[in-house]
Amino acid sequence: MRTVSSRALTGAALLVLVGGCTSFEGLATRYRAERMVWQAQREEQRLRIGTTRPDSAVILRIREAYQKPRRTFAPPFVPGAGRDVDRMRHDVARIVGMSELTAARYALTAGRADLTLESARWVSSIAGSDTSLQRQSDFATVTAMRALRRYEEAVDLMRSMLDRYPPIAPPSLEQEDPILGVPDAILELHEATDNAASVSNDQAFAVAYYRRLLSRTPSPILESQVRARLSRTLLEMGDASAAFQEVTALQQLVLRTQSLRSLEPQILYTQARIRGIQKDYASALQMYDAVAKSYPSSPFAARGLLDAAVISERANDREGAVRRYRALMERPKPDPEIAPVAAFRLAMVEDLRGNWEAAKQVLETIPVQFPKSRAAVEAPFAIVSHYTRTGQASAAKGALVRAVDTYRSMIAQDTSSVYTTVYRWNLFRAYAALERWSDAMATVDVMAERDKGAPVTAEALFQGARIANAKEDNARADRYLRLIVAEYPKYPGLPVVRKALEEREKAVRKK
Amino acid sequence: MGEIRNARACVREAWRQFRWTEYRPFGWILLAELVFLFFAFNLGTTWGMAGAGWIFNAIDDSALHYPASYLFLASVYARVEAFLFAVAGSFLIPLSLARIGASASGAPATSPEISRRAARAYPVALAGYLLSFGLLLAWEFLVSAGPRHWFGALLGGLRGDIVTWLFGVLVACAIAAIFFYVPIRAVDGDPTFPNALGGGIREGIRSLVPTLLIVLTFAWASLLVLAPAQLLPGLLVTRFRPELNGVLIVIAAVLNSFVNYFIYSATMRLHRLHRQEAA
Repeated sequence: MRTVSSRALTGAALLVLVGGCTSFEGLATRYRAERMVWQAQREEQRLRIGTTRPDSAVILRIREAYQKPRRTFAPPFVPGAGRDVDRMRHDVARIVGMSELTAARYALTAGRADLTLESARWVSSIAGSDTSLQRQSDFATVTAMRALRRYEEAVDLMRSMLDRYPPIAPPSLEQEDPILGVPDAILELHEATDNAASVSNDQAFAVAYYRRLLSRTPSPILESQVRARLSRTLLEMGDASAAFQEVTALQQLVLRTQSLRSLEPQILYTQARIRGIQKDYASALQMYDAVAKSYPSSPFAARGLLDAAVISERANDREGAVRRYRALMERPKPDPEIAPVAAFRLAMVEDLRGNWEAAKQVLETIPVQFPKSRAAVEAPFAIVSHYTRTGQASAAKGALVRAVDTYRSMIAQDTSSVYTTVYRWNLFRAYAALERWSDAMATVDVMAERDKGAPVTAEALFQGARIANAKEDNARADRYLRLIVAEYPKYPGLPVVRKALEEREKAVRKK
Repeated sequence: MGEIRNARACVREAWRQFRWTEYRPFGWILLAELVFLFFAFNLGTTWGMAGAGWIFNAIDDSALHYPASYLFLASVYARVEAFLFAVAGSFLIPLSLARIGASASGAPATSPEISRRAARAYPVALAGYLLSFGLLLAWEFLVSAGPRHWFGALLGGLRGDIVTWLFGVLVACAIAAIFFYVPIRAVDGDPTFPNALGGGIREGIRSLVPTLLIVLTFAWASLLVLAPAQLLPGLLVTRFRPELNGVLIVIAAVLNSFVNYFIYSATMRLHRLHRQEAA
C-alpha cells in the first residue's frame, strides 16, 4: 500500500515538474523571441544612423533582422498542451508575427511586394485565434496586393475582412478602428485605377455595410464614426435626403453625448454639403465659411474651403474661388488629399482669369509637392492642353517633353505607387503625341508586363496595336490584340479587337 | 575625535588582516547571489527561467519579459539579497564574526565551538536583521513620499534624482550602522536575547558616527558601481544594452560581499576596543 501511494506521489510530483518545465520552456521561448526583436530594433537603429533615406540594400538588411524570429522559432513555438501552453504559444506567435510584419513593411519599402505578400500570408497561417494579428496580416496582404497590382484580389480580401472583423469601439473620437476605413479604401483603389464602373457598386456596398453596423446598436463613439462615414458616402452618391437623415441623427447623438462635441465641425460641414447638393448655394457658402472660421484647426476647415471655392467657381465668382483656394494652400500642413485638388483647380481658375503664368507655376509645382495624387498625374497634360488650345504648337511640344521627364521621374521615385500605371499611360500618350513611336510601344510593353490587369493597360495595348499596325509591325499588333483577348475579358472594345484579329487571320489564310 | 581615530585604526587593521577563513561565510552568500544572477542572465533558457523566473514573477509579471527583466533586476536582486541575509546570513555573519573574534584572541577560527556560538546567535541576528530591514523599507517609502518630490522640484531631472539617491543612501547606511552591533554582541560572550538585541542597538546608536565612517570608507566603491543601475536603469537598457545593468549588479554584488566582510570586521574591532576601554 505504501509503495503504491509513494509511486502515486512520485508520479504526481513528476507531472507537476513536467508541467512546470513546459510552462518555463514557454516563458523562456517568449523571452528569447522578445530579445531577438529587440536586437532587430537595435540593428535597425544602427543601420539607419546618418541615413535619411536608406537604400534598398540597407532596407533589406533591416528586413533580414526582423525575419530572424521567424527563421528561429517554428510553429507551434511551444511544445505540450494546456491552457498555459496555449497562452505562451499565442504570445510567441504574436511576437514572431509582428516582427515578420515589420519585415514585410520593409520589403515593401524596398520594392519587393512579392516578399511582403509571402510574409503576410505566413503570419496569417500562424495567427490562429489571434484576430488582432490576423487583421494586421490581412492589412499587410492588401497592401502587398495593391503594390503587385492585383487590385481585384485586394478588393475581395478587403470585403472579406469587413465580414470577419467587426469594428472595435475606440476609447475616444481621436481613434478609429482602421476596419471602418476599408470601404473607402476599396473606393479609392477603384478610383485611382480608373475603374469607374465599380465605383457606384462600391458606394452601395459601403452604405450597406455601414447600415448593417448601425443595426447592431454600437456604442455612441462608434455610432458617430459610422454615421459620419455613411453620410459622407451618401453625399458622394448624391443622395442628399438620405445624407440629411444621417446628419440629423448624428447631430442628435452629439447633443446627447458630451464626449462627441468635437464632431460639430464635421456636422456643420456635412450640412453645408447637403445645402450645396440641394442647390442652396448661398447657405452652403455661408456654412462652409463658418466651418473654416469657427474651427480653423479642424481637417473639415480645409474641406469646407475647397467645397466653397468650387461653389464660387460655379457662381463665376473667380475672385472668391482664388481667395479660398489660396487660403487652403497656405494652411500649415496642407491636407495631402485636398491640397493637390485645390492647387489644380486654382491653376484652372487662374488660367480662366488670364493669369497663365501664375497657373503654369502652380501646375508645375503639383508633381513636386504632391507626387502621389491624381492632380500630379493630370498637371503636366493640363499645361500641354493649354498650349494646344491656344494654338502654340512648339510650346505644346516643349510641354510634352517636360511631361515625359516628369512622369519618368515620378515612376522612378516610387515604383510601387498605385499611380505608376496612370503615369505610364500618360507617358505613352505623351510619346504618341510626340510621334516617338518606338518609345510609345516600349511603354506599352512595360505596361503589359508590370500593369497587368489594369483596365487602362487594355486601352494602352489597343492603342499600341494601332500604332504597330500603322508602322506595319503586324506581329507586334497581333501580340497586343491577343493579350487583350486573353487577359482583359471585361475590355469594352473586345468585339472590335476580336473582329480585327479575325480579319487578320483571314488575310493571312488568303496569302 | 578619538572615536574617529579609533574607527580609522579599525579600518586599517581590518584591511590588513583579511583572512579567507573569516570571509568564507560571506563568500557562501555571494555564491548563492551569483547563482541567482546567472539564472537571471539566462531567462531565455528553460533552466534559467525555472531558476529565477518565479522570483521575477513574484515582483511583477512584466519582469518576465525582455528587456524589462533587466529594468527589474536591481529590485529583484535586492529582495534575493535580503532573503539570503535574513535566512542564511543570520547564521553565516555571526560565524564570520566569531571567527574574526577568535583570530583576534589567538584561538582557532574553525572549531566546533565557533559554529555553536554562531548557531546560538541566529535568533538575535535574525531579529536584528528583520528590524533593520523593516526600518530600511520604511525609509525607502518615506524617501519616495517626501524628499524625492522636494529635490525633484528644487533641482529637477537627473540632479534631483542624484541628490535624492545620495540622501537616501546616507540615511540607509546610518540605519544599517545601528544594527551592526546586534550580531557582534550576540557572538561576543554569552548574552541573553534582549541583552544582545537591545544592547547592540544602544551600542550602535552610541557609536553611530565612527561606524558610519567605517561603512562609508568601505562602501563608496560598490555604491558608485550600483548608482547607475539604480539611478538610470531605463537609460542603460534603452541606450546601451540591457545586459549592462546586470553586469553592474554582478560587480556590485562581488564588491558588496567583501565590503560587508570588511565593515563587520572593522566594527567588531571597534566593539572590542570599546569593551577594553570600558574594562
